Amino acid sequence: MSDPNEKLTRITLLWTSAQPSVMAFIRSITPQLADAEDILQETARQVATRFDEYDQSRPFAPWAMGIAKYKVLEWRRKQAKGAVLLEEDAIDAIHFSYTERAEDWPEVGRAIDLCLKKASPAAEKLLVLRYLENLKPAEIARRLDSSANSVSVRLTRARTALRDCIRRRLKEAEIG
Amino acid sequence: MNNPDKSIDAWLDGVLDEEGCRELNEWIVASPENAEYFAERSHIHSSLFDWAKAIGSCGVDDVVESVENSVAFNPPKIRWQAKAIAAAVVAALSAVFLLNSDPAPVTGDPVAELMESSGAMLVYHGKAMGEDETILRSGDYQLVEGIASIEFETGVTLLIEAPAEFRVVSTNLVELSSGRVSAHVPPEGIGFTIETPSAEVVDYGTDFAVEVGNDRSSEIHVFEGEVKVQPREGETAPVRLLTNDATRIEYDTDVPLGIPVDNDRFLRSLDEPVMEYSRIIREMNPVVYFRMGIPKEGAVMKNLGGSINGQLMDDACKRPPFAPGRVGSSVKYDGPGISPHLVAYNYPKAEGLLSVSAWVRAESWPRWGCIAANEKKNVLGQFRLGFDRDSGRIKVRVRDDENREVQLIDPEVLPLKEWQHIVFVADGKTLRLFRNGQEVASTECGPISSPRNTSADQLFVGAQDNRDGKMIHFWHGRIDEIALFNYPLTDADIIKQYQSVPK
Repeated sequence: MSDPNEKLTRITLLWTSAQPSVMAFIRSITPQLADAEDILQETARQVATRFDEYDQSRPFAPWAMGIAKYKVLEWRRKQAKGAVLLEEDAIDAIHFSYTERAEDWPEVGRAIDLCLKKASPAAEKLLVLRYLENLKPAEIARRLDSSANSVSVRLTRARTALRDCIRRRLKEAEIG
Repeated sequence: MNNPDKSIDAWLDGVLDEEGCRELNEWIVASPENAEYFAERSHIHSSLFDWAKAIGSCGVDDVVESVENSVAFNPPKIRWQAKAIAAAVVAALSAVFLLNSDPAPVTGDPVAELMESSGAMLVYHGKAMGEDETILRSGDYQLVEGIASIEFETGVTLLIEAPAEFRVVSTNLVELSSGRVSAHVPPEGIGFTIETPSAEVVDYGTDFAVEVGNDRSSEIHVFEGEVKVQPREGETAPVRLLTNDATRIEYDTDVPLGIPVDNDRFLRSLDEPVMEYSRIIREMNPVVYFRMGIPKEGAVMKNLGGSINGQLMDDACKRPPFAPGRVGSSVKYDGPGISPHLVAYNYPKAEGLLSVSAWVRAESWPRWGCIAANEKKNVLGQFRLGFDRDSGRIKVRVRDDENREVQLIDPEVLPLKEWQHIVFVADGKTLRLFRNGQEVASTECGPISSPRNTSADQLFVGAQDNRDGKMIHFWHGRIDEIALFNYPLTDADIIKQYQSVPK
């Protein structure tokens, strides 16, 4: 692939399809949004720089996620002592699961789109406050004149309903 | 760890304490299944950020406000999709968007057949089905217009009213996302299941109906037999419904709410049943007889009394304007504003003697609400039957052969939400008004004006036109089995009509 334009197109194509899963992996280890976005940028830069090392006969997403894991561990080492962090063995296990299911994630993404259409207005409102406004449960509770515990329970229910719907759709897609 | 979902969510929300984090860490490394469970949930969490980012480009306040206001069509979702597409275009540095924008056509397995329909437009995975396509394959459907009757190989039949969104999963399972469906399940189809956003409805051989509202709540009404309704949230025990039972399951709760069965809401058949009432009417030789059932041929309402058919004008209606009637189905009128109406041109007019009979059911008393009229641009032709202005009382007005308008008003207000049998008879000497087989008013009246004395050649049912030719005075409720006779019905005829319909 000597044509730089062709190479750029190829990287763009592969990265665009893998990026949501790479970001999901990063966010699962680093719940702070700003940190996750920094790590994603660093990962993208590394992917572009090291693209020639990528074996094109193999799936791209696991390779990119390998770079992301390296960046996540780098970030982890820089965190202050006493910070609440997942251990490296857990990060390894999570990374393994993400790469194992790399081919499934785009399907999961599509199923989420469909399942969100089934969300009730109340659940949707909670999700908007949590994910669009990036509010923690306690802040959402203040907005809704509710308790943080109640908001957490309702958020967990909304996510569980979403997960069940996604599983159902994936299972049906498998069968049908 | 007792509740992995709770701990994972607390971690992802950034509110898990040190002890909780240690426990979560141990749980993740305890087995690959646990790690995979965590990966799945965290992926959903991340996808929700992406979803929010897409809808957020139209402004946080707009989104929150529109979510709060969303009841009918959830505008944020529509916006989200639009924004997501826009974002995809920007990101189409690559061909990804172009590749995804032209998905391969979906072709599931054949599972059911479209048996009958009335003005139905079915969309399968975004593509409108052709008129000659009768096989339904597994997959996602929208019924955009009309009414469709589909049958599975087990003999299970569903009557679906637009607008509806559903997914045919298999011969035994349908997911209903929104809309109204009635089902007939023969013994071979026992176990047939309809899943809604809030409930799973398993049938044990019965006639039942399901409606999913805009708030994703579900109502299940059992007309005969037995069904099991399992709320989908939580671990609540199922509720078993028997004949004439009904329940409502809200989306956000798991407690079944018992409600009265509603026999008047769900259409159960596209066919008008052959019943004693219709036989009697036909024996009485009407010149016009509209059963007000669901037309099979476009908007043509067949006249069982003669060759002049009616035309049902329902273009502006959001859903098919039909509902259970007093005998079979009836036409449903929504009152002032957008409502259907029926019109028949050049029908055989009366030569002095006239009777009109109908079953009506009113939801309210709209000003001047019209049941039926022969008039033109608000000028009376031979008759008008409807409300007397705002009084809620039925008034009949006729033009006699001396060009005088004679009117008669029922002294009682028409009861709401009840079927009432209304008849008026002009026998050349008197004008008489009957309700439920009883005469309620009468007055002297000469023969009805000759049709040659009026330019009003059309019969309107459920509305009339004004001076500009626009439709006004819409009925609010239902009208069924309307018949015109160019002779005077006797008291015995009227009682016979009224008593032939079981109460």
